[in-house]
Amino acid sequence: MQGLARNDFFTRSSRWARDWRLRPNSGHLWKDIIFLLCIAFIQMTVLPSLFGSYGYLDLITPWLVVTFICQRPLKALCLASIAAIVLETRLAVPAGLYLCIYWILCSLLIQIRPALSWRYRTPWFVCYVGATLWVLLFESFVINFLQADLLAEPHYFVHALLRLIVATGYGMYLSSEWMNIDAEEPVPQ
Amino acid sequence: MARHKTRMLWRVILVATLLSPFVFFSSALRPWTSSSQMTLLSQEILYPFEYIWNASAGLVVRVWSHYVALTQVATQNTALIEDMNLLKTKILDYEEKQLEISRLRQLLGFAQHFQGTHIVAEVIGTRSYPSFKTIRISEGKRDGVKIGMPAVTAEGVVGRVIRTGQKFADVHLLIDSNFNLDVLLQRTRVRGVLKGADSYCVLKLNRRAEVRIGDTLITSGIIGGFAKGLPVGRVVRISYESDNISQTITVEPWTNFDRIEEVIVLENQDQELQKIIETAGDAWLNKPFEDQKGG
Repeated sequence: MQGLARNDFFTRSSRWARDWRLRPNSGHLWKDIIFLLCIAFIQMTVLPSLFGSYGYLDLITPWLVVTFICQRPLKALCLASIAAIVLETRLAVPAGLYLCIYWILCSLLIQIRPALSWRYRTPWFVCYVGATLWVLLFESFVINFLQADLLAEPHYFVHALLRLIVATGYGMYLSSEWMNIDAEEPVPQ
Repeated sequence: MARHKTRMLWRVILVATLLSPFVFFSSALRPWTSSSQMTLLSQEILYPFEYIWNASAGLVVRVWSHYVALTQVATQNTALIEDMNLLKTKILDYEEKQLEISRLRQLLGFAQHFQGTHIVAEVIGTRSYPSFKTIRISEGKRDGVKIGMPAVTAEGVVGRVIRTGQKFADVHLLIDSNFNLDVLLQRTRVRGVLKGADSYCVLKLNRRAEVRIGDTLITSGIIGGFAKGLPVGRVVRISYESDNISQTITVEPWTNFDRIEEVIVLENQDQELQKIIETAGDAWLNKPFEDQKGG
């Protein structure tokens, strides 16, 4: 039967493209790390250069939310730490800011994930909005220590709202494969 | 038994996680300042892609602006020729004045204001977040860039190097809220500490200090590794505090941070920091604060 399977260039290419499709739960830790670095590259380099000041969006948070729901705890914590270090060594944020944010988010989601049904849109939606708001509020809290004036600027709120909408929309797209009634359960048993 | 152990482990992690914000807020709230390979491993991996992306994007922009969007070129050309003629006359005058100044300096025994070597670097990464501002430049440890070195443009101060990779370095921008710079008001010689605040900077001074709109600020050269006299910005607003003691000066930096393409990294680095690194080695920077105090 194996010999009857198509093995031409297009079949191999489409199989390769399927294997290397950018997704948060690929099944291998090394692949997840590579994908996470790709998302960080898109977030920190590609989007700002394409959209200017409106390009400072948050793709890593929804990506990590899916990771925290679908991965085993140790892997999830490992990926959260990598994401936090990537962000902290690229930006001028106070050291430990994202480590703190993502560790808390990871622990919380791992505790609540068995209690929810992930076949419906609502839990995913609430998780994305909650996670993005958590990141935004924690950042605002720190900015308040350093630079209170920025919080009074209207563009800060416009930008925060844009980040919230994009992060939620991107997260809903990422988790669409689990939002069917006959879909596989994402939480590892 | 194994289940009990796992549950215990999770409880410990949960408690540690809940305590982590307290540890974080008790820290100095400073960004990572490191040249360690391990800390910057992810950035070393991402750097070549960032470089390629920036080079490709730059190529597209250059092709567009040099070969397609040329509608204003003729008008600009005429205006530039007129400006050039005017400037040529001024340059002759300036050259004469410069010679005169150097003669006078020699006579007075003053040292030149900055004589160190410098490294010219291309900006390859824009400031990534509106609230935490850095730029990435194309020269790193291999090219001689060190932590603490000041970065400037022809217009004025840009910031200070906070991280160095093999072929890149991150510059902490002057307008970041975590950035402080010792400055002088050029006209009145009043000294103060300038602090970044979004797209401008603020300076708090005693109310008796004489300041006017349009006054220029320069670096004081006392701490922070910046040579004395580098232009920083100009005063655009003065607001008096309700305590009747202080006044807040809003300063617009001379450098346009949205349009920086190249920066000059001055090898006039922070002398105090360099002395520490020479004595204790590069690894000292990566030590926790408590160990540094002990060491």
